[in-house]
Amino acid sequence: MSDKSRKTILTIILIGFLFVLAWLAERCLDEYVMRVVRTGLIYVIAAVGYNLINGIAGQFSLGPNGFMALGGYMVALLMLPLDQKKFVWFLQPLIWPFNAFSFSKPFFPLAVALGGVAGALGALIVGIPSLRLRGDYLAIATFGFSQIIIVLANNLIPITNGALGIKGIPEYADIYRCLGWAIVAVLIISNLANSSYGRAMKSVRDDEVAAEAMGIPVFRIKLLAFVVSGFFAGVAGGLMASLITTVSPNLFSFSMTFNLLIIIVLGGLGSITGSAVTAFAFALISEVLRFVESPMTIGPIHIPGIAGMRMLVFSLLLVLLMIFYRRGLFGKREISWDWVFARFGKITGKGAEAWSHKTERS
Amino acid sequence: MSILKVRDLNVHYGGIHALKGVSLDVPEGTIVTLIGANGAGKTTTLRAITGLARASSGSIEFRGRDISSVSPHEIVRLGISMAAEGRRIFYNLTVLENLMMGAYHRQDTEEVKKDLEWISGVLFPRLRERFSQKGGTLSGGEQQMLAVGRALMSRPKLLCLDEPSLGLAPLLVQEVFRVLSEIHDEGCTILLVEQNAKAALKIADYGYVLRGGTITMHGTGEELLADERVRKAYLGEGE
Repeated sequence: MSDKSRKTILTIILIGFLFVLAWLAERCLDEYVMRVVRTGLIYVIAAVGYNLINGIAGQFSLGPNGFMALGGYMVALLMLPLDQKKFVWFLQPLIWPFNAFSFSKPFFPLAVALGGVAGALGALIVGIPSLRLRGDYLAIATFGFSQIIIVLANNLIPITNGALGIKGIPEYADIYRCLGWAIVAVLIISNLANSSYGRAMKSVRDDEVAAEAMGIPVFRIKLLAFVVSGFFAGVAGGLMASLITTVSPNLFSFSMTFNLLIIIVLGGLGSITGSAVTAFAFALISEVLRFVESPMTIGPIHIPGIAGMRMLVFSLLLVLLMIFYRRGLFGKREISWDWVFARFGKITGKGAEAWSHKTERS
Repeated sequence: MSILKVRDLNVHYGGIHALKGVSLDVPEGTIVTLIGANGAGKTTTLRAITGLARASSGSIEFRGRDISSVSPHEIVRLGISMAAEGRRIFYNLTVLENLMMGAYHRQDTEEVKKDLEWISGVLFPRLRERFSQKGGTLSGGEQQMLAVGRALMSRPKLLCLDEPSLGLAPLLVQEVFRVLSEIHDEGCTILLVEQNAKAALKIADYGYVLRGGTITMHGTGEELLADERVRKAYLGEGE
């Protein structure tokens, strides 16, 4: 059996195993923990997509919260039942065509995919003018555009219901759908990163002028990374809308982008598996750290609950991690099957040999 | 037959008039060199030919087609590639990936393999040993070899080289020039920009001397090598 087909089979087995794990988790863990797990999976989708543009293509975008908002509102508008729509838009009526139909449950994946398309279209419109800029300028331009989207969400009342938001979205983002989308995101993005397009993105990151001189259509490659990244931001936003069952401009504020930035820097810019693992861990840890905000009594000292204490501890953790792992936890490395063979190589001696041969040189 | 014809080329960088009416010809199958001091416009000429700098007026004709307003990645497709000054290799890609980026637009997989074989096996055996190593970990000389190899991977009809000997030890400079004549023997036309005027003129069929954005002298390699003014100004020889 060739090396490649063996890895494909292993990947399929792993995916099956993850779904079995999800099935077990749903039966054994309580609703609260499952919510955290689902949030973690949604973060995985957004972070992996964000890493494509920031880590792999090296274009510093600050826009994902805007694209997540597009996906979130798209799913909300498509999935909200008709009677609920009448109830929500009481100030101004909802515009056509959204006031005329709503998707039933089997069409939820389609709605999420359309949320992704909304994110991708947004990225296309933002990307065409702003990807001609570089570095800090690109960051400022994308930041500005995402702010515009949030301002629009606040003011386009006939579509978004303004600051009141949209509530009563059916909760269809169960563990299987979240896991399924997360797997799709990781698979598509890692395959893209390892294709010739991915190499072109990395070469643009390393030296844009040299890439251009090599015959790489630099602008098109950047736009490709940006649009794919926007698609998965939209998907993540759509799933999040259905998980929380409400969307409002506040949900997709800049702090969302900030969280994602923390995740991809912490996981290692350019490492897809790194940002996937970190995204999941980020969601779990920020829940676990909730206890520091509750009132505590340590010996004779009584500390009242301090809101925001969590972020303080989090920042401290970040500072420490950045001191000891300057390139993020994974750097540019990936958890690949080769890596696994090398780690647990005693079982498959051949794979380990091939790997050690490779690492010796790099 | 000239493969490249540049006529009355002007390039401005903002308010600076970098090239003032440069005209030159590169006949097919030859090595043509541009020599001159710092800031004479050598690199600008190459940047204009490869589309990285825009000509404000004048024409650049490559195999009968005007390319002065064609985008850089299209120019590579047409058959011009460049090893830029300062090597500019991709630090985080492996040596093999760097080479493959040179063949980015090519569809003929079999021929690409043959070229890879030739470049990494015959021209630069050092690169073969370092295939899976990151580009950034190579020494200066190896990086230069990689830059030239990468430019060759597009199988160019015209190879532009900007200061390939810059910052290299004398022995490596010899190595680079040996490889250039080897590439030339394979039928590749070369436009070479060099500060190392002596070595460049020795292997060149024809040479142009740039000064202050204009061509002040031109002639065959031997003529220029023998010219009193060239010897004084660029070869560092006294009376």
